[in-house]
Amino acid sequence: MQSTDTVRVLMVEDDHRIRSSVRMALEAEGFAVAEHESGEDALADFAADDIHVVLVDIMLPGIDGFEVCRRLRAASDVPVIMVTARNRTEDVILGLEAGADDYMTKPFDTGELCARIKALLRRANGAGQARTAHRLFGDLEIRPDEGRVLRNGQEIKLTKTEFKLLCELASAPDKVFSRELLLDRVWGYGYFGDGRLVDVHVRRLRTKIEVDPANPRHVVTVRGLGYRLDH
Amino acid sequence: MSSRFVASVIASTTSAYSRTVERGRFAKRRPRSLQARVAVFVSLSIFGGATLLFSITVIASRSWVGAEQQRLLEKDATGHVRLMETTKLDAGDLDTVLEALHPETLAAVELGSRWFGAPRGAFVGIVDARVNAEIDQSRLVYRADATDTLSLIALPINVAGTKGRYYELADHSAWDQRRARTRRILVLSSLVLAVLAASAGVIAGRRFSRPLTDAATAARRIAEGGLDTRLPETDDPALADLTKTFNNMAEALATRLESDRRFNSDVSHELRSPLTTLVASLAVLQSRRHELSPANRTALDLLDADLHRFTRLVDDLLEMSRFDANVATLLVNKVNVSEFLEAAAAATGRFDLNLAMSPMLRVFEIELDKRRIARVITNLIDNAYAHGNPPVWLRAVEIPPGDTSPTHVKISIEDRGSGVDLDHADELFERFNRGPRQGRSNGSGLGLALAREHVHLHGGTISFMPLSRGVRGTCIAVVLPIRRTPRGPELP
Repeated sequence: MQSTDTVRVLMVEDDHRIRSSVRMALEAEGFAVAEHESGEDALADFAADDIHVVLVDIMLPGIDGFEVCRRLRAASDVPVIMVTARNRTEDVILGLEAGADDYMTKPFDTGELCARIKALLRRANGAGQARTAHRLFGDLEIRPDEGRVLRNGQEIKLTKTEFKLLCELASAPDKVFSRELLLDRVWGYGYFGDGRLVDVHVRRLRTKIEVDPANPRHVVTVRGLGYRLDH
Repeated sequence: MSSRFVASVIASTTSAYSRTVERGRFAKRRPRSLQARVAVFVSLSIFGGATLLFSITVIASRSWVGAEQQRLLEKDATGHVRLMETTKLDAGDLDTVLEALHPETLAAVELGSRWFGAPRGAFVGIVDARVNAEIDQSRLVYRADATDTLSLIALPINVAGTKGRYYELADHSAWDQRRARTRRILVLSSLVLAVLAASAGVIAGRRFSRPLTDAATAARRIAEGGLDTRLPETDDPALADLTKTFNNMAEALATRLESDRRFNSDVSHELRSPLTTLVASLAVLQSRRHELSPANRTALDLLDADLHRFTRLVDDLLEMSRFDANVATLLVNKVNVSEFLEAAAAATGRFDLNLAMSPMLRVFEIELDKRRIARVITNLIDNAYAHGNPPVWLRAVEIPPGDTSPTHVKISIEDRGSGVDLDHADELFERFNRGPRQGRSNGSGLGLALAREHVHLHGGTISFMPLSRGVRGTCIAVVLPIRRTPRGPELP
């Protein structure tokens, strides 16, 4: 009997020992967990309105974690945390480019995992609540209260993290945001968070909101300093 | 570990190459490079051969020209004498005729006691009794004077029945000038040839050693991480073997490195998966610790502590094996130095840590891998607390100090413990070497060894430093370049 407040986590992991231990640890923290052994199972069973966060391992039998992430993204903007056991740089980048919002490296601290899930949900539920006024950036219109972005009146579909990132940049137009600041505001990471989260999300955001993503007009890189949102 | 082997192969290839470079370019007393030797040999051969040819030409032409000159002068003189004899001149006309015949040479005829033509004085010193005796025996005399600018041609003459002597002094200077001009042309050609020979030598040297320099360049590129570097196939039988062997070696190395990388990745996966289960299960137990008896709680805490230690050990070992396999990569960020150090100090959770930073560092940015350098600093601070005594200092200063555009930043960690023996301090950077503090540590025993690798990957240095006189304690300094210069391969 789950209350409406209970956060429901979908976990895709082929190792049953990890599955049950992580499920128990998350349940001890008050989360509800649905487990799946393979990506195919998870996708077949996935219903967007029932799941708040997806935890997906990269190495899976059948389709791998990247592919699970891509297919989930096609259907939903649910926050996805990629779990990797290999400490390989390209895995992180591939995962983020496949649409993951964050990543964790095995073995992870359960407390840290809970904190990451809460950070993702916090922004997903409360993106820009304090700043509800619609903002215009050239052809872009950001409506923080509705969680929507329009370009020339046409709605652009963003994930929750992308939207939060855009709102953060829009909160102070023409101000340069350092990676550290964005990591803190959007992901809740401290100074030593992974700056690639910001870089890959900016890249993803550009492909959606820019007319020419290779020559961005809105989300501008300020070399050595960070990013800025221009009109 | 096999990755060690590969790393050492790369290291030795690189150092062999650099030794070659050193020998070729800088060392003076060692043998010259092959290229230089070929160049010198070819230049000297061409130049030597040509010089020999020139010398022969010059010598041969000199003697030939001399003989030819004599023949012509003799023929001329004989012709003149015959002419004067056959035209049946009066002795009185001789002066006029001699002058007309010889506008450029000095000619004279002596008939008994009478002298015609050029003044007698011109012939003094060259015409002597021996010359006259020769003439009187009806012989032609050809004699060069001591300075070799004049030659005397003398022969008997019969003018209107009177026997006499004909003398002619020929000036060589015109010939000599011509010869000198020829010699100048030859010398000039020699110089041009010398330049050409030298160029030919250099080109030949370069061409000859080209396959070797190509191979050296390719080897260096491989050592720098360009594992797909190959030498182009060639039909030249002399080079085909080298090319083939080299390419096979590169192929083997690439395969080896790839399998090492896969091994590392597999081991990593195999170790991390059970650890994930352990860590998560332990968290479940910790959340229920209130249900446990005191003895079970103690056991749980021991398990917890050692599981963390074990996790760190696995992390450190995997990190080290990435260095060994040469697959460690820098994730470079531009960071403000003092901001970074403050964050790193805060992350250690040591509230009694003292920070002393040069105010200049507030405005400087440095390119570094935040995670790696933060680990180094955390590790050094942890060591200071574990093995030394407080107060512990984290100091940072630009190098050179006070410079507005410094090249390096020096970060030092200082404690007031019993210190280390500086003569043997370098041994502390070796793996699992805990020095005299054996057994007291909770670390993996790889901390300093890894710290050194992290710092070296940034092109920096790490070393124990002496403290000022009378102060007991340990100081370890990390010096990092502000502009990172790449070292070693940077593979994704």
